[in-house]
Amino acid sequence: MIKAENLTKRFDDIIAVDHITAEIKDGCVFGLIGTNGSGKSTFLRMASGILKPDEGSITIDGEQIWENPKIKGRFFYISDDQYFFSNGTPQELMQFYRCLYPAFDEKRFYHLLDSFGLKKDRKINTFSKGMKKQVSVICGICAGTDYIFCDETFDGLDPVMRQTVKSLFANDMAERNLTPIIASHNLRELEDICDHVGLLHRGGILLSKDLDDMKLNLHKLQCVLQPGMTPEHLVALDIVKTEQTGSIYTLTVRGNQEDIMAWMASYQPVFYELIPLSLEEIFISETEVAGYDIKALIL
Amino acid sequence: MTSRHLYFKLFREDVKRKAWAAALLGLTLFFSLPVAMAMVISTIREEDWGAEMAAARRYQNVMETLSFGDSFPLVTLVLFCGAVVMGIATFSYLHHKKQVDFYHSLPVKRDLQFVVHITTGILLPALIYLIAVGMALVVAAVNGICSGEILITAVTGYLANLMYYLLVYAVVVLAVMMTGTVIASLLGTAVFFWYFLGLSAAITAFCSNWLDAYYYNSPSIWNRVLFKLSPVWAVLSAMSDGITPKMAAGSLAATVLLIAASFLLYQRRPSEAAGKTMAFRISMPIIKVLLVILFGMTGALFFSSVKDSLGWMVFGAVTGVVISHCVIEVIYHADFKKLFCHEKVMALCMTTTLLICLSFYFDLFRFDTYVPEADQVRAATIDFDQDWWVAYGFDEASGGVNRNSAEYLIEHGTVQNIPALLEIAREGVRQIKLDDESRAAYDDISSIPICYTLKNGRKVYRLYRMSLEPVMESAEILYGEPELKKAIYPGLAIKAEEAAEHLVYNENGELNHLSNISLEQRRQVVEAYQEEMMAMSFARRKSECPVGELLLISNEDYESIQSWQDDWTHQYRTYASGYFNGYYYPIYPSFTKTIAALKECGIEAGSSLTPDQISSIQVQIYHQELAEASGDYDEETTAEESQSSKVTTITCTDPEQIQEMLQAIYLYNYGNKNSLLQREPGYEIDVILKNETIDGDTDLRGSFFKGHVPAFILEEKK
Repeated sequence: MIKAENLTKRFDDIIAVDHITAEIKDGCVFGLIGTNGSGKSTFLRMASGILKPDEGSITIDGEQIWENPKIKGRFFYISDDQYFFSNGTPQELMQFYRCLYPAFDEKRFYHLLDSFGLKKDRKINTFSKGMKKQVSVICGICAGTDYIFCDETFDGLDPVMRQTVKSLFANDMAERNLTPIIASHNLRELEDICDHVGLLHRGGILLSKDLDDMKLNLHKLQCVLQPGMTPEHLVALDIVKTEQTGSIYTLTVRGNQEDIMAWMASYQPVFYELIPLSLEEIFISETEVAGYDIKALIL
Repeated sequence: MTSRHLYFKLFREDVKRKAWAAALLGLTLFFSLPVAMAMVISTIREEDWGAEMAAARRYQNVMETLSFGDSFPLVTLVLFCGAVVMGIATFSYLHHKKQVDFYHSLPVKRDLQFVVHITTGILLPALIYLIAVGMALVVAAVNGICSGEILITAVTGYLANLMYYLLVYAVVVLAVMMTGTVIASLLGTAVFFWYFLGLSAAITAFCSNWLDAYYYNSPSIWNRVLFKLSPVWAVLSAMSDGITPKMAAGSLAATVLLIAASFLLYQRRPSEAAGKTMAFRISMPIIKVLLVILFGMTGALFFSSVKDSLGWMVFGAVTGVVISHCVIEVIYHADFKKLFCHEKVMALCMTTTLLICLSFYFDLFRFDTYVPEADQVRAATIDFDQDWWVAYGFDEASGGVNRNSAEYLIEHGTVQNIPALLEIAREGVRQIKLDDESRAAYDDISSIPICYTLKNGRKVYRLYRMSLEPVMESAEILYGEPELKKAIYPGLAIKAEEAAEHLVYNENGELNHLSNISLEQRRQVVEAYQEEMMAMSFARRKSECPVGELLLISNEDYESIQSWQDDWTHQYRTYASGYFNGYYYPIYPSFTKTIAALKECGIEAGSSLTPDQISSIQVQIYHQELAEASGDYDEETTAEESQSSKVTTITCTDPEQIQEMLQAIYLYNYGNKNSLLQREPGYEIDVILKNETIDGDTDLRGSFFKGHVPAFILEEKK
C-alpha cells in the first residue's frame, strides 16, 4: 500500500503539493485527477523517488521511497514525456531495464512488441508519440513491478490502444495484483478503469474515494412529476442537483438505490427511472458539495 | 543484485550512452598521437641531417611527442578539451527534466549512479588515450625507434596527462553539479577556470597601480596561492616547468576533493534543478557577489588605465558592478526583465567594490608610509638595484640565468645596520610623496626593495622607486657590509680555489683562460679581487669605469651551463656566450692588487686600448639631448628649429687628441656593469681601431665621464 502523509512539495514560492494525505490500496486502479498544475505529476514524481518531499512522507508498505532502491524496484514510472536514449531501440531499452528489474519478462516484451506492431530494432526517436507511449507501457508491464505509475500515459493513445492497455492492466491486476496509479487531467479517460479516484486541486486533495462507493451513494433520476409538483415537493429525497427539460426533471440524488426508488414511488410520478451516472457527473456532484466548480477544474 | 554487479551493468550501459564522446576523443587522439608521430618522424630526412643526426632527432621528437610538456602540447590540449566535453556529457542528464525523471526513478541509489557516471568519464578516455599511446609506440617501433627510455616516457607522459585530465574533469563536473543547464555549466566551468587567476591579477594590478611601495614579488595570498587554484594555471605551469612530486600530490588531492564535493552536491542536488541556471539557491548570491566585485575591480582598472584619475576609477567600478550584476541576474533568471532585481545586493557589491578601490587609491591602510621602528625589526635586507648584470644561479630545467637580484637578496641577503636601512626606507617614503617635478630632479632613480622580518615573525616587503643620493651615507654603510656584499655578488662568496679553476680574464672580448698559469697564481688573483671588491664603495664606482672582467663562477653553475650547452637539443635555443656574462665581474682601475696579481700572470689589465691601436675616435653630439639636459629644450621651438635635433659628428685622428680622449671616455663594454658611472649626456663615442673598417658597426662604443668632455670637443660643438 502506498501511503502519503502530510506530503508537501514547494518549488521556490509555489506550493505544488500541499499537505496531501492519501492511501493507495494494492490491487486497485488509482486515478489521480486534476487540472494542469494541480500537483498530479509532482505527486507521482515524489512517489517515484525523483523528488524529495519538503514535508511529510510517502511510503510503500511503511518504507520510505526516497533513496530506497529496494522499494523503487517495486514500481515502474512512466512520465508524461518519457525519456528514451538517443538512437536507442526498444530492444536496447529492454536490455537496460532488464539490468534493473530482475523480474523483467523479456519473452513477454517481445511478444507485446509484436502484438502492438512495433519493431524491436527500430530507433525509438522515429516512433510517433503514441508508439513511444506504447513502448513505455510495454516496458512498464513487463518490468514485473507491483506498481506502475502512469503520468498522462493515455494521452496520445488511440481508443483501440487505450482499450488494449487497459485490458493489459486488468490482466496483470488479476494475475499478479498489479496496482496502476494513473494521473490524468481527463476524467473520461479514467472512467472505465479506475477503482479509486483522488482529485487534486492547487496542490491539495479535494477528495479521495472508491468509485463504487460514490456510485452506490449517488444516483441520477429522470422523472415526470404529477402536474403542480416540483422537485421541491420531493422532500424525502436528498437532491443534489436539479435540471429541467420541459416537464422532464433530471435529479441527482444522494442515497441508496432502493430507498430512492421507494420514496419516488410514494410520490406517484407520471414517470421515473434511474439512469447511470458518468464519472464526470459523480465528480460534479461531489465537488459542488465541497463548494468547487468541477467544470472549471477538470472538464 | 549486488551493487558490484549492478555497477558493471550500469557502467556498460553508460559506456553505450557516451559512445559519441568516446568516438570524438578517439578520433582527435588518433590524429594527435599516432598520426602526429608518423608525421614528425617522416619530416626528418637523412638527406637533410645525415643518418646519425636524423636518427637522434627522430628519437628526440618521438620522446617529445610522448612526453608531457610544452614541447608537444597538442595531446594535453586535446585531453583538456576532452575533459570539458566529457565532464559536461557525463552529467548533462541533470540538466534535462525528462532525463532526471528517467534516471532518478530507477531503482538505483544516487550514490551508485554518481559513481557509475563519473567513472565512465574517467575510464573511457583513459582507455582511449592508452590505445592512442600504444598506437603511437607501434608507429615509432615500426620506424625503428624503440627503447626502454621511450617506454618510460610514454608511461610517465600518459600518467601526467591523465592526472591533469582528471583535475580538469573534476572541475567541470563540479560546475555541472552546481548548475542546471549546459550553458550555465560552461559558464561555471569558465568561472572555475579563470576566476582565481583573474582575482589574483586584479589584486596585483591594484597593488601595483595604487600602492607606490608595493613590491611585486612579495609573497601574498593572491600571488602565491590564489592563482594556483586555477586548473588552467596548474596545467600550463606543469607543462612549462615540469611536474614536481608536490605538484602531482596537490593535483591529485584537488581532484579527490573536487570529486568528493561533487558527490556531496549530487546527493543534495534537487531533481527540480534541471533547467534552472543554478542548482542551489544558496550558491547564487555568493557566486554573484564574488564575480560582481571582481568585475567592478576590473572596470576600475580598465578605466584607470585609459585615464588615471579618481573619477574614471569610480566610473569604471560602478559600471563594472552594474553591468556584471545585471548580466548575472539575467543569466540566473533567464529573463531580461530581471535586469535590476536584487538591487540591495547590487548596492552591497557597489559599496564593497568602491571601498576596495578607494582604500587602494587613498592608501587608507597606510601601506606606503609604513616603516617599522628599529626595535620591531629582527632582520632586514635590501637590494640597491645597481648591478643588473649579476647572475644568481643557472636553472638547468629552463636553461636560464637568474638575474633577479631582488628575489635573491631578499632570500639570501641580510644587513646588520638596521637604523641605516630604516633611514633609506624613510627617504623612500619621503620621495613617494614628491611631485613629478621634484622627482625629476633626481637622475638616479632605482627600484629598491626592502624586506623586514619583524620580531613577531611577519615579513614586510616594500619597494621604493627612489634616488639613493640623499641617503648615500647610509647606503654606503650597508654596501660595505660583507654579508650583504656577498649576497649582492655571489662571486665574492665562492671559495678562491673553486673560482680559480674556471678563472678567465676578459678585456674587450679577448678571453684569456689563463691556462698556462698555475692554480695558485689564479687563486691569488681571485683572492685579490674578492678583497678589493668587498671594499668597493658606491662613491668610487661613480668615477671608475671597469678595465676588464674576471669570470668568477662556482663549480655547480659552471657544470650546469656546460651540461646545458653540451646537449645538442638546446643549441638552437639561446646563445651560449650569454650564459657566462653574469659571472664576469668588473675590475676597476683602483683594484691595484688584482691588477698586480694579473700582471704576475702576464696580463696587463686595461692596456688593450692604446692610442697607437686607434685609427680615429668619432664623437656624435646629440643636440636635442644636450638641450634637454641643460633645460633649454622646448618641444614647439624644436619642431620649428631642426637645428636642435641635429647630430654633429666630430672625428679625431690626432694622436694627442686621441690620448686626451682616452682619459675622458669610458666604453660600454664594461661601463654598463657600473650603473653608477655618471655619463655626460648628449655624446656618443665610437672608437675605430686601425684594423677595422669604418662602417659604424663597432663594439667599442662609449661616452664621456660626466664633466670630462675635452675642451676641443666643446669648442668644436659651438
